[in-house]
Amino acid sequence: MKLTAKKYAQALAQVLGESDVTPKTVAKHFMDTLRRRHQTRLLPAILKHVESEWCKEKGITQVNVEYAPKFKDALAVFEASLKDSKKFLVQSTVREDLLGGYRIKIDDTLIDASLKGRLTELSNKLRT
Amino acid sequence: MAQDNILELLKSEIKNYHATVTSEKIGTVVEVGDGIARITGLSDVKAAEMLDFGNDTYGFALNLEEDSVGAVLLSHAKNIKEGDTVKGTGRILSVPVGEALIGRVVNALGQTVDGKAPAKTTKTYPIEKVAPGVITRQSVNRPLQTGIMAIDGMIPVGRGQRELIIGDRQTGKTAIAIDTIINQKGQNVICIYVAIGQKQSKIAKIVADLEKKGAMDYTIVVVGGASDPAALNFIAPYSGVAMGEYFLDQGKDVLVVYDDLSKHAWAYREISLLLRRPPGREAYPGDIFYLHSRLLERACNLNKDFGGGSITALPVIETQAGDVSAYIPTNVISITDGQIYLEPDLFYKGVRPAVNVGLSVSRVGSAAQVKAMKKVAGRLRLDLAQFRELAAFSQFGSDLDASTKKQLDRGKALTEMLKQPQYNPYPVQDQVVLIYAGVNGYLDDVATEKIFTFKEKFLHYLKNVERSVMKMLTEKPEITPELEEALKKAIVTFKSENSF
Repeated sequence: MKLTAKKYAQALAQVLGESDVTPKTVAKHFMDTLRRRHQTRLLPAILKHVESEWCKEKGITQVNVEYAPKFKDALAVFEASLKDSKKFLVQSTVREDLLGGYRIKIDDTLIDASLKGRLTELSNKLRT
Repeated sequence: MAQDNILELLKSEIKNYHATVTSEKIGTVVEVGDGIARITGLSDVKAAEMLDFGNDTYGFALNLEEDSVGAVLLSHAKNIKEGDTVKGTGRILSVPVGEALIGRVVNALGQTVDGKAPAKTTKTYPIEKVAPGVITRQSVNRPLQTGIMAIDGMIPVGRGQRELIIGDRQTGKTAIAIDTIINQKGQNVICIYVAIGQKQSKIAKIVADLEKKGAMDYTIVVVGGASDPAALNFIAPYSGVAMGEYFLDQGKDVLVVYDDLSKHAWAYREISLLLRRPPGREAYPGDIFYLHSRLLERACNLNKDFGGGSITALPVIETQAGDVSAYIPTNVISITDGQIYLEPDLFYKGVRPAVNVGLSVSRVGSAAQVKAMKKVAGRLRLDLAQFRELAAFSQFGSDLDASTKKQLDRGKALTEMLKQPQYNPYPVQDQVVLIYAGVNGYLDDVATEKIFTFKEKFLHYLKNVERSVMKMLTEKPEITPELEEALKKAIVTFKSENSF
């Protein structure tokens, strides 16, 4: 059976989740396995998936928050409340091109409350 | 959009502005190139759903894989880069349809490309649709006159039929399709010409010819140009038939020409290989047969309960060095209800249209032939078959008996009679009288080089002097004893008055 980068990442995340093995040992064994299977070329792709797989394994939801500079204070409260929870892994970015408002991305769902989003919507409406 | 409308919309938008929050599924571009994008995310995307890449760039989902979506871009991917956000539109790829498209040249997405104002359409139809089922159909029973004697006489096409036009390059395949479109004037048939992977110059010439002959009044030209992305060439025939289905739903008759499906198969092969689908014979993907069968199955003749409309399909296939047993030609031959085979040898001998009547067949069209044509053309096919056999045989001997010589002369006269210049389709009545004269030996004593003049003058004579024959034939397209008598008399009188 052909093993994809995602499958390797899943396996790695599951082994990492087991508490009796140290991450260093796991990493070493994983590299040995890849080398033995002549699959080291998949490493960059595997690393891309590992974080999300690890989060899935631990039941953690990744949340990406993007906001316009003026919304920093308002969103700081929201961010802080999520950061205390072990169920969320929050990454936030300031984006000037949003003009106003914020965007929250959870997995492949985008909650858009930005001014840029509204303007794009209006421009689409005008075009049709 | 008018300036006033834009202003009004802006004003109302500003007045009623309230910060709404939208939630949608998105994806991220992880790879882009060669007209293909690989996207992660988009967990609820549907097959063939239109995807919005932003900046007016659209694509559609073709490969739904475990952790990524393979999408085909519908325009050049200048502004797309890795990490870009992609949104699903929730709509299956659709094209605008409606009367406003008639007389227009549109691209595979239904956008007008003829430099005139955009077509005002209100409806869209999905490009992929399940073909009408058995219950909705009836057998082919009405003719679709191509105006070409060799075809209407021996390889008749009926409304709702799928008749393949096959032959090498430069053998007159497009000419037959265009003549058929020109001949639909006043026949209540909407024509759709789908150009797939063709040079823009050729398309421009076709549009100019159709305009000159007044055929654009009932024709839509769908362009998939040679410089367009493969995705547009891939969807062009589906767009064309979707536009036709709008008229079908109104109970109208539609003719769709797919010129040509070889290039369509190439476009699909390109897309499939880029999407890393496994290649099969001649590197085409495994579903290449299904690609064409699901397209041609949409040709139909609906029964009265379902509107009674029809879609006739004239797919074109270009063979390489006369190889009809290649993969795509055999596939399409088996899907269609017959084929018109054009031969380069005949073309260069001056037999135009270069139809090889031996290899061409129509499986269902004869049921739709008018009675008069059926009666006169039955002998035509037989005479020509005998002629071909004897012509091959007579090359070996010089002494021929009288009956053989007579059959050879008849064959030569009939072959000459079936020659027809481009853009000169004959109405069915004209065809019947000419074929009658040919098969009954009235052309045997006419010098071969004078047969064309005979045809033109005789038709002129019937339309201006012996009008009763044409009147009888128009009123009742059947060879009755009275008509036959009148026709015989007219031919004899005409021949006695003119020397050939």
